[in-house]
Amino acid sequence: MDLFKLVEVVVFPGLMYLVVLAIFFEWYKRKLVARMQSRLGPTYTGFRGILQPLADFLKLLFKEDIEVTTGDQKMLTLVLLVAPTLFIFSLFFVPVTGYTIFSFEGDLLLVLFISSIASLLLYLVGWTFRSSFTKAGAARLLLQIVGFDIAAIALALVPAFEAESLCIATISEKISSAVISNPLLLIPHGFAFILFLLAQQADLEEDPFDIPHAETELVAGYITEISGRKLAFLDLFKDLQMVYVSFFTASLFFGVIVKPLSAVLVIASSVEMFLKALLVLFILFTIEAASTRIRIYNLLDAFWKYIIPLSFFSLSLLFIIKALPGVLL
Amino acid sequence: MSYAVDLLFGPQHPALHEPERFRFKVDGEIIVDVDVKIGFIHRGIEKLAESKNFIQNIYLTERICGICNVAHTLCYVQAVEDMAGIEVPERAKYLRVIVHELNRIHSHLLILGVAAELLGWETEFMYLWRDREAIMDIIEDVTGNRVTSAFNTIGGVRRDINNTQKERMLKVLDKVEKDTRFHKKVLEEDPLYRERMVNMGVLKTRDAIERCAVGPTARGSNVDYDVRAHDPYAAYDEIPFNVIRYKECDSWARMMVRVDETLESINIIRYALKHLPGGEIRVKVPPRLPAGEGLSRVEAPRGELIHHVFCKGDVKPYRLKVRTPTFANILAIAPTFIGHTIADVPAILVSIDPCFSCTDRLTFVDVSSGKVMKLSLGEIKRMYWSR
Repeated sequence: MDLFKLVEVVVFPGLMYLVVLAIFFEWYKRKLVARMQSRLGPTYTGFRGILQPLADFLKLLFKEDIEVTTGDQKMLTLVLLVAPTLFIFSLFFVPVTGYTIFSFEGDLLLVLFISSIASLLLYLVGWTFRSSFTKAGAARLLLQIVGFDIAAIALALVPAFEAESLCIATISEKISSAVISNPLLLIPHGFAFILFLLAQQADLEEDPFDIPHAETELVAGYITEISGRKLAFLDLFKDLQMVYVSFFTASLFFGVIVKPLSAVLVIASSVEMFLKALLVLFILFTIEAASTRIRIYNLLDAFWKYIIPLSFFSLSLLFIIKALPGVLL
Repeated sequence: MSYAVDLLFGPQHPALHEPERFRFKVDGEIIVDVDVKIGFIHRGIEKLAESKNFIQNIYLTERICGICNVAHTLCYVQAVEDMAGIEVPERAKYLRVIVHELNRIHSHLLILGVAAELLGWETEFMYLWRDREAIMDIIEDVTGNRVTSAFNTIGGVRRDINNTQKERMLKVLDKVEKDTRFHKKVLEEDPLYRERMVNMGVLKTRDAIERCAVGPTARGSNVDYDVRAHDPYAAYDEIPFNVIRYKECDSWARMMVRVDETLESINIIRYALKHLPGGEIRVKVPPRLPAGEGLSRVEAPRGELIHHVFCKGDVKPYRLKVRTPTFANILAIAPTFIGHTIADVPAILVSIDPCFSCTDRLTFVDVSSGKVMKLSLGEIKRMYWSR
């Protein structure tokens, strides 16, 4: 691997850029939701409290790590080291700056697979403890994953078939021209976008799908027994998940305007992708602020009775629209 | 065959704002049995009241419950007035009603917010509490303090209100009415809120009467029972108002009773301000009261509140007995948990507006022989340390 690639992986648009983004998105979430709730949100650290998530992260790093003797601490440490890595790795395939560090035909499937594994790792976090709250939270998380994951995979295939590629970079490049050339495609595209957002909301565990860590029912769900450094890394993991979800959704469904052909254009296209990610998160956080938590049974009902059939419906609608000209001619 | 396991809610739990223990037997997520254990925040207030004089006890009873403090002082002073045969001036009666209703509005908006927060709806919680601040401001304006103000005193009230305060209050009430109507629309129509609250913890009318439910809990089960209307105290016999009832008998109905009562309270205050009689606001009462016994019932925000005072011709009461509404409601609501899931526990529990610190009672019972014992503090300490 040459030096340039190494810098890309470690600094921009790789590891460091992603962590900065994660911290920024955490602030964005807190500030946005706070303003929607007529609160101030973070104000003290930095410009309008922009450094507050970083301050929280550093503070947690210095706190005492209380190790629960009934828990499997080695397992927990391993999970918390592997899980953020998985998201950073899958983000290498997503055009965070308009272009991707690594790319091959079929990386969409790899990224979907990795993100599923990362969600499953959270289940292990709850399962390593012998507390009834973490157990119940972990069980709920597993049920939730079973609900949203299938829908998410089916829906991610909609833009893939529209752009006729399984490579995320190619999809984000071709999606706008594909939809413009056949405006009928907007129907399954819009359908899939809304449903995909719901599935991603469940992945992020935000309201109305914050069931696995429902504060007023299960204390903190599967997170209950974690503290100190481990909690800091779990928070970082959740923030990286936010980065992954926003950029992944934006690159699959929004298309690109600026193509990163030169150094200046790379900056322009990174800003473009960043704004699109903020838009995705804005929609998700508006839903989060406007809704109550639902029960796990309601979630399974919603996903298995409506969202999964609807996602297969939009997929088949797409096939019909794609095949229609061939049949008619 | 069922594999029921115990799930402990409390004494420390985020859904409980005061320590109390609920032992749920759960089969999967379904609750099959519930056991309520109270007594974690017993403060011995009834005993303490015996060592303080009648005026000092106003400040003590006010602290039985911080949220419905006006109801407690009102009930206590009425019981003492009943015992000593004191006649309160008309203006004082109206002022008592005004402050009592302001207290009710603030309590109802508070619990509606808490309910939203327990269901994970922080936005509605923030909005309700923001709108509640206007009421807190006028309570401070009228009584001198936001929460514990000891506005009622034996023989009347301690402060009068003037025309400027009246104008200010009417202006704020208009705003609060507008806000409450908005929240009523939101809580009536929001599909997710309805999903969580409708058909939760159904307490049938018959059961509510049998289990002696009081206050909004009873009225949410379509029981026509309101102390203000059926045993009027202060100036309630002269003020027209409706007893709010809902037929649905579930958590949602109990919360909606509170929304409608807030609107009704605003009308009561408007009427009372309009028809406020002139004259004195209190009569002088001697510190030493004659021997006797007094009882008072008040419709606190959470339901019927009873204070019972005995005196043997002293500056202090011989005995003060308090029955708070949550004590009645918690037993009425406990069986309705059965059949619901763990996720519904907060939704059902919050619908009775639980206030545990007023509820706690303590009796030492030897479980093997069924004998009731009296223990001093020293004996309890010794038993605790010898364990």
